[in-house]
Amino acid sequence: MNNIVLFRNTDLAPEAPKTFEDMVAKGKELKAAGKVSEIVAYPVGPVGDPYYINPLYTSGGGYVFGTLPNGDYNPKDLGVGKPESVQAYQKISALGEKGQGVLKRSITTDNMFSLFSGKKTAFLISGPWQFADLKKTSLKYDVSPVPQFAGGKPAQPFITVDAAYVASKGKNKALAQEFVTNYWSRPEVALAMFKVNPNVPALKAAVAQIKQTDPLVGKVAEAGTANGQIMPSIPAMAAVWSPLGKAEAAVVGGADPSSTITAAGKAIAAQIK
Amino acid sequence: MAHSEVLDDRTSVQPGRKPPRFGLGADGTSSPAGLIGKIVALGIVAAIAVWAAFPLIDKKNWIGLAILVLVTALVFYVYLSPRLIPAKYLIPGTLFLIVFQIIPVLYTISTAFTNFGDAHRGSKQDAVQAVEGASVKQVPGSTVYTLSLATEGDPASGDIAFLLTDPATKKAFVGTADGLAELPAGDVQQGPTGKITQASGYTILTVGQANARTQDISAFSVPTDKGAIKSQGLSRAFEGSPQQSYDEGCDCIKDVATGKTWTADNSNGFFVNSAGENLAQGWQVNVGLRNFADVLTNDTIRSSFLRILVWNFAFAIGVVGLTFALGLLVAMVLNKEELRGQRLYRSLIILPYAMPAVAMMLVWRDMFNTDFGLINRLLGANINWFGTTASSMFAVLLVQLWLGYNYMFLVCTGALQSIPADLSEAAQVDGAKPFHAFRTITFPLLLIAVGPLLIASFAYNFNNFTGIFLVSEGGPFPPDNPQAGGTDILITYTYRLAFGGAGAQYGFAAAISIFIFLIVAIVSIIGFRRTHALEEIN
Repeated sequence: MNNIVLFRNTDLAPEAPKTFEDMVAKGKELKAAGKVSEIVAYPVGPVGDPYYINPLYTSGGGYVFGTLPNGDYNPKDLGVGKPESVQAYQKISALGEKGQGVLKRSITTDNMFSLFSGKKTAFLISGPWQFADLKKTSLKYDVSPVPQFAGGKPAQPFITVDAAYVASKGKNKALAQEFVTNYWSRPEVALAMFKVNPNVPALKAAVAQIKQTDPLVGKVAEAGTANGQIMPSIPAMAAVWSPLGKAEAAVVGGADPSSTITAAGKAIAAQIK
Repeated sequence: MAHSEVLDDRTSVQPGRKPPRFGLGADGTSSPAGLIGKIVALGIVAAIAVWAAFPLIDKKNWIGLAILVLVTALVFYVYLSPRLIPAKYLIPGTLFLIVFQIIPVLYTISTAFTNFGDAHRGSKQDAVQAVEGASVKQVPGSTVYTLSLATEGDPASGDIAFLLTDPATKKAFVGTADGLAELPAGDVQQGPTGKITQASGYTILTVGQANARTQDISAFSVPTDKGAIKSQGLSRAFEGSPQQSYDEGCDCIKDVATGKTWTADNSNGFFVNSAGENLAQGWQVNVGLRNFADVLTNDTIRSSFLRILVWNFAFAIGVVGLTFALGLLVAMVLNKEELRGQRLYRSLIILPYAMPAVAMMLVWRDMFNTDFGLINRLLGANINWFGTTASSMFAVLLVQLWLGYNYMFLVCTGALQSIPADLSEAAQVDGAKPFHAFRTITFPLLLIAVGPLLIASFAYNFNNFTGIFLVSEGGPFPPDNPQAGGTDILITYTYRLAFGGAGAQYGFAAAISIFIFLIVAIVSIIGFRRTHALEEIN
């Protein structure tokens, strides 16, 4: 199971921030004292990244797809372009390059980790796949949920789960199906996989066991289950990534949120049809 | 002239020697190394032919087998024959040309006329099976049985039978093509969970034997009055019924519960209902010229197509021009014999050529990073390189210049050294100024040698996907048209259109590829005609 959490250098910032504004204030304080050079390593990139910005987007009031009564996502209810999405992006724009300078397009998923491990910033927004790399450094760090805007809605990161598909034309289909249905769901297998790849297992029994030796894994799981939003995997979602990302990059760069997000909404709606 | 000395076959056999016959040395190869080389090469051809024959026979692909036999026979005939000297030189190149150029081009052309892509990958049969398979639901209230796979008789060829146990009551059943029947307790032995370990009249399959019968097991089902019992893996079976099934009479999919129908739309490859919505599983159909028409008439594509085409030409010409200019300049500077350290300079210049281009492009991309990049730090500037179109174009051209000028340097060095020195000396004696001598004598001779390479470099850079995509990803994107960026060339634009938004659309991408191919082919033909004209100078 993957979600986005806040990694915090406990030497520089001993307490977990309760709101995003608290985190920005702490970051500015550290920057003024000369201890860090960036407030937070929040990846944006030249073409944006809707996956990483979603916690702030939902905290600001926006949503990507509405849900039907049975819980499925509704491709006909696109949230991008609606007034709530514009409001959310106005808050994001205030943090951008022409605003407080917290969000920058020059911070990408490629250089965010080296900023955090090189102690150039005290905060990193990333996911549990960083555990493997963090174990190799000597940093003291802690995990907490991505803080929401003060007075805003809870920040909801996208939750994704790795799954196995059995190929319909596979040569060993029966064996593959047997493995997936009867073996992969066993806790021993999840624990063995955790040893090789320290991610957060989706199996509750496995998480309960791993939590005892690796409490941070438990924290990531809790952050996900408390506020996470299952990432929409309906076919219409494929049309969202590129236009929304580029709109996000433009807004972070200083473009007007209202016209940019409305245009992005139109481009996405045209592609979904 | 002694006509008896002129022989009608083209081998140079001296009069008095035995006439050449079909064989290894028949074309005059007499050195042992040459003969051994020929044996090894022909041996490899024969080995490949034998290796390729088995899967073809296995799949009963007789046409493929015939082609394989013909090509192998042709290769052997040409290389063992005393005549056909030109063919000996042309056959390898022609074979590779056909396999790696002509066949892919033909395949791309044929794909462009279909709608091959996501949701349209298989045949209609596959789509129907996928729809029915995905709609199978467990019959409400039915049991999930513990399964032991068995056959009546020989494990490799006997009829499949499901030996089922109800986990609640531990009762044993046997499921065959005729239906479900109870097994008397005396006939079976069951393990602690109730799973059947032995049954008289049936052979229980081991894991290996079951895997060998995978196809038959997935196709097998035990008919019941509410649906059918199918296996789920090797140790579970459930009773399910498909909610949607295909009706041949109306060529449509019918939903059992709601009665809705989706009719097959054979021109689009989808099952569509009356509201115009379609099922996710579709099939590949021939759409004729629709992909080509889309490229020409779709508004989003048309609005940016011209701008992208112009920049594509400018980029290719710019890269060729800049790399050629710098490469020629450096070649001329380093061409002096008396220059000390010539070898050292040459090695340093060629060094970037030895590094993997993809890695270098990523390094350059990070060097252009606004806040953390090397270039801004060195210059003390805060230029947003990939934020504006002009600076992105500059960045992309700079990277290609760094990557490509050393190739031109190598080529120009060779070409300059092949121009006879007495020509320029004669010009000097005649009193020509150095630049005039260069322009009228050296440069045209240089172009004859280098001309085809410039055309090849143009064709390569016209489709330089990695050069644009890895460095600027297509450049700054205006918010109202996120598909077409400032430094997008046709191929990156195609890639984003075909594989970005609504999943992969190979048919559409193939159509645009053909447009690009035609553009490049026309420019190359014109270019080659011009270099032919240059040869008349000599």
